[in-house]
Amino acid sequence: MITVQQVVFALFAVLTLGGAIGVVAARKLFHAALWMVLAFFGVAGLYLLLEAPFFAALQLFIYIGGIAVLTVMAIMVTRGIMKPKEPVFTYAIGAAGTALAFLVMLGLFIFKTPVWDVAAPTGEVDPNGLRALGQALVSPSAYLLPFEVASVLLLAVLVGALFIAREKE
Amino acid sequence: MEQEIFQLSYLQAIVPELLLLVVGLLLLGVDLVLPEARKRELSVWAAAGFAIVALASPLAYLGEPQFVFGGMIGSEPLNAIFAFIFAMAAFLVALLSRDDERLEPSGVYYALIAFAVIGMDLMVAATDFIMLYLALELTGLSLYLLSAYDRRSRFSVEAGMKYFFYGSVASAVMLYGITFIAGLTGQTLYLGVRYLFASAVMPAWFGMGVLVLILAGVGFKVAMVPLHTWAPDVYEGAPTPVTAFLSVTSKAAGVMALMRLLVWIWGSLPSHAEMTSLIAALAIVTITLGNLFALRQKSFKRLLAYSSITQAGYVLVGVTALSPMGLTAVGFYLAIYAVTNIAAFTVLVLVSNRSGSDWLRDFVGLQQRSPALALALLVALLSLGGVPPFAGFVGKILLFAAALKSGFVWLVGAALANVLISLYYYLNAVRMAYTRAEEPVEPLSIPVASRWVLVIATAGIILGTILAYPLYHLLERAAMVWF
Amino acid sequence: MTLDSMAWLMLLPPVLAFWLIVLFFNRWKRLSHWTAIGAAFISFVLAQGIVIAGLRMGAEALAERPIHSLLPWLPTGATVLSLGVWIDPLTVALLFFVSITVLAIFVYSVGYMHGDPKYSRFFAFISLFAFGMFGLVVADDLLMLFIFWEIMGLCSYLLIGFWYHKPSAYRAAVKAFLTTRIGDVFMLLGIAYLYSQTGTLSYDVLFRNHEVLHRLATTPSVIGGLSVAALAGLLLFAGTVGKSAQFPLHVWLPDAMEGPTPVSAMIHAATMVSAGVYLVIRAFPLLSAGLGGAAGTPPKVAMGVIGAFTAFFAATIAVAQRDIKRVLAYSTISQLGYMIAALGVGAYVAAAFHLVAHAFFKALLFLGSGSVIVGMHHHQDMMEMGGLRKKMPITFWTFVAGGFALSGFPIITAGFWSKDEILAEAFHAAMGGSWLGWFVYTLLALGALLTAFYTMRQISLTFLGEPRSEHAEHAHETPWTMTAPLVVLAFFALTFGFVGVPEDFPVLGPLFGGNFFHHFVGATLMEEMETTPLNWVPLTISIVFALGGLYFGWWVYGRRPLEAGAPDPLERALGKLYTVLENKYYVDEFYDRLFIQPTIRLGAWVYKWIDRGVIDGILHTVAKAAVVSGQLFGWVDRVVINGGVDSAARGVGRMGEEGRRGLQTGLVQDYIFILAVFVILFVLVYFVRGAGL
Repeated sequence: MITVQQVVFALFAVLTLGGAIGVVAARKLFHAALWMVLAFFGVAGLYLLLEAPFFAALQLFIYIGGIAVLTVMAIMVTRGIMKPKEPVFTYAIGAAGTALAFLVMLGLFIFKTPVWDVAAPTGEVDPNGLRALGQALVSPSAYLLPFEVASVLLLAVLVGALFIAREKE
Repeated sequence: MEQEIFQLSYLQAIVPELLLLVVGLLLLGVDLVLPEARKRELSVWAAAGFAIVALASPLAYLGEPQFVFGGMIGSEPLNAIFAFIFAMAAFLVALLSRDDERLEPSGVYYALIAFAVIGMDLMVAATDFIMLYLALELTGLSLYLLSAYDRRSRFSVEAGMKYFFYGSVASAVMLYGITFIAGLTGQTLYLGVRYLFASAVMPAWFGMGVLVLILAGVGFKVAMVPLHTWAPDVYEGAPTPVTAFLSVTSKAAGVMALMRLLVWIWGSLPSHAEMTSLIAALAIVTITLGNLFALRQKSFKRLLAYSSITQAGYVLVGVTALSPMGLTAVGFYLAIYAVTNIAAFTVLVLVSNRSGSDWLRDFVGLQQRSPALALALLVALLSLGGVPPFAGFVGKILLFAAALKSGFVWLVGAALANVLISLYYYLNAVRMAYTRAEEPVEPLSIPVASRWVLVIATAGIILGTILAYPLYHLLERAAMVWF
Repeated sequence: MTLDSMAWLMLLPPVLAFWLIVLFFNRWKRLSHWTAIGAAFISFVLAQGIVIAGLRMGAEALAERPIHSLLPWLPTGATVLSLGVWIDPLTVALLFFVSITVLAIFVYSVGYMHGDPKYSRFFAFISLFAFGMFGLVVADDLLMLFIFWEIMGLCSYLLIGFWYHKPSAYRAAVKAFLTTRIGDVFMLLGIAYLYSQTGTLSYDVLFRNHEVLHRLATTPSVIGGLSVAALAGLLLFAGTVGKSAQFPLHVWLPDAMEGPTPVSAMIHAATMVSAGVYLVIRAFPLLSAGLGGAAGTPPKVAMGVIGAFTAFFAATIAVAQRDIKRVLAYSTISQLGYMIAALGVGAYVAAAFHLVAHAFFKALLFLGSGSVIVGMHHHQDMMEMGGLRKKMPITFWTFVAGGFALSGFPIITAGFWSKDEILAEAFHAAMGGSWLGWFVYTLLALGALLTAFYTMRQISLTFLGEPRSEHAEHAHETPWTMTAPLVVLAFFALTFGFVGVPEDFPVLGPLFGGNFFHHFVGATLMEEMETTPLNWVPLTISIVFALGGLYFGWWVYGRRPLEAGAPDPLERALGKLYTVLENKYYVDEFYDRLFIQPTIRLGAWVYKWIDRGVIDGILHTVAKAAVVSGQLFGWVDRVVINGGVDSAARGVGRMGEEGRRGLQTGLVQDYIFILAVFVILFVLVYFVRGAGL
């Protein structure tokens, strides 16, 4: 029997995968960026289905609101790369084959592994989940250090990218 | 809810990293106020900063081995030693960068070096997969940017792009491996993973498969064949001081991260023998292929690039041993290799300052132009080639002895045959330097910063032999912590 | 001062001198040579001090408890590979001649290198060389021996290529370096093998501990039919074959004569090469451990066959050489063959005896030839010499002393006693029914005849008759710094043999203390070596051959001196064979054809193959795989094949046309592709093996 949940899942899955295929198949970079928005949207839906509304919101804000919009803008202000070039597709089949093989390999991992340490879904949203997450990120006995390293990483990228991209005066 | 235990000693354990952050930020700040004409002075500031970090790095060891920050990293003597090595390498490279006339170092440049060193310190110290991944990314991104630093050079920008693309894919593949581990065990701490790996009914292929995925990320840093393909292009294209830096430090950090994973987790699995033979096979392929390609290079920079691949292969021979002695030998060799390679690259920088290119033939007549420089090159290359009495020889002996002790006679035999091959191209470069030039040559003076780099590096190469015993002893005690 | 601290101190001055000259003194020539000579002198005094103290202690005491002092240096786990000195009777014998010859070379170099632009550097190099030689002699384990062995190898490379602007010198240097390295790799393997089997490299355990020797000799090795001792011994011997220029790795030594000076030539011809012989003498207990066929253990058979063959083979080549240094080079190869062959038939002491005696007279001959070359204004062709007897009397007489010692002129030369001991031992072995004994004896005896002949040829061509060229006409005696070492060495070349006169030799035996050398060095093995009873048959043959060879040489070359521009009389007599000999049996050409050219071609081919073949292959395979899977599903066939695969195949083809190909295409897509292939392939392999898909 197909439940509503399954139907919704299928919908979001198609959205995500279709978007992803669109990204690699689109001839124009601009179109690819738009397909990417679609894929991001699908992922946000999957988060919702997994009862993680916070992540769904983050996905919408950061990926669609931030990254995707930035990408689109970057493409629009950059001339010359809007036009498709032939050699881009030299690798299409090779890349597709490789990706397929990779997928098979990942599938093996997922389906052949005997035990996955996944808690059975409780059907309820843990009201403290978000709080626990926030605390873990700043607790010295949990993820404080990785969190800070991530911020150094972003700083490095920001400074470096600015320098590389800056017009030479 | 976990307890929020915070101790001041946690901060002490990351003193080198904190100092590096301060140094990096200060350099960014100084860069803003310093007038354009005095930008080269930054190198002295940076070098001083890195020297302070190097001196402070022993603090990172809290007196006895322990986990800090909830097990994300360990505080161990070995981490402190490598923090010192990386800071020293950064110190030497900072000085060297001052004298590369094709490079215009700014605060950003040195800050990126500082950030990369933070990443590498943490790669060595990481005892958690999330930590490892972030450290790897921090190192990687800083180095991608450094490789592309010379914006006027098409090759530099291209090197940065290739490095970035390749690195992104490699770390993505690694991330898959980490996901599977986390998914299967619900853990990311090394010790927890080991415990569950060893106790759970887990098929052997899973362990090996995950290892291969993780190798993609770590092996990429080591530049082991077949994950080496990016290296020659990046090494060649990046500004030479950057090449010197990344060919020794990120490689060393990668080897140490790999070794920790193998010793802590995979070494205790039933599929242990399969894993060592995989590493042994990759080691010998790495050595041989690096050698074969190095043989026919006409560019000294590219020659050193392939030679670095080969050298990483030798280190992997020691990794294969998977014993305290192997770890000691690996640590010893990486330290020696760092100073040796930096010395060789320093000579390259000074020579190409004049010639404007990296060709081997530019070295003809070097002995007439600067006997000291030619001697430094001789010492560095002979050490790389494993000719006694230089430290590279001692290092190789230790690596091979460790592998022999673990029973890899064939591996050592094959590695030895390669040492013979490698002598050919090292000596060829030496020959160039000692060949008399046909036409008159102008003398080549060594700028003061590079002079210090060469003196320190050469002293390291020679002291490595003389002080082999105390150094070995120090490293051995540090290495025992892991076992 | 204790003996072990003397041994440590002895090593220091040369290496200090090396650094001082390289770093500080290289601008001042006189300061450089005084530093070097001073250092060599201090080492000389200390070495002789050790020799005297060693003689005082007596052979048995010294063999029983060799002086052994350790300095921890490279600890590897449980066992310590430490730096140590080791002085036993064999070491004492080596120190005696090494210190004398080294000092002689240093003094001689002052005269010979006079006016060279790189004068200081030369002294730095030979100081480093002296350090290597002393260190090798006093080393207490195989690793340390190997390190000093390599230091000497490096020095030899630097010295042969000293005048690197001469392409021939540079090529010779590389050839020497690479050829000896072939031996060294085997040797290192042998050392590694011994280490993996015993966990130690110390002489004390490997060569003196009967239990260990017995275990090594009885444990089968990885190669069927060979014991561990035999395999390790063969590998060590390979190092000797390289270092001591034995067939088939002898090719580097004659070329090393391209090196600028007879001084450097003598360093690696008369002194350094003896390191190889020293290694096998040192390792003799290991090499002879266990049982082999009737002739002895496999390493001994190998030594006997290779040594005897080399001795004879090199002697024939020496007969037809024109270059004064090349004759000596081949003669050296030949004489080293005697020592190796001696060990092959178990003549441990005889080998050591000949090693020392040979070092004296061969050093003398090399220095003498150097003196001739300086006198001749750097012309080395013997055909252009002649009549130097009157122009260079000191050189002449000392050269004759050395030449006669080399030929084994009876009674009054050292070479007679040492060579005769080898021949006597070989004859003894032959009488014992060993085929190896016969083989060795026959070749060595014939070699002795040839040796005497080419020596006389050399003396006649160089010194007798009338000058055959302008340069010979204007030749002059060399300065005292060159002739004084000659006289000193001539003294030893003539008299050193008296320490080893067989006990039962009439009159002389008792007179000279009854074969002192044999008892002293023989004690090293800590078991009574019985002396071979005096046998008149080989002795008579030796004397006849030595005198006959000398006479025949004189008859051909000395009786009627060669005219200027006249061909070598031998050329007429031997015909085609002479050309073959002159070209050294075409071994170099043979190697070039057999190894060097194919290696170059193979290298090119491998590169091409990896570069072009592998990646193309992978890409094509992927394309093909897509085709195959496409055929499986009809709809994929229509959609993908027509659209995609063709274009992919075309794309692959197009890429093939773009110049830079292979692993290093420069395209990051390819690099990532290789990464993916690696990951997928290995994961699948492990999966299939583990889960049986």
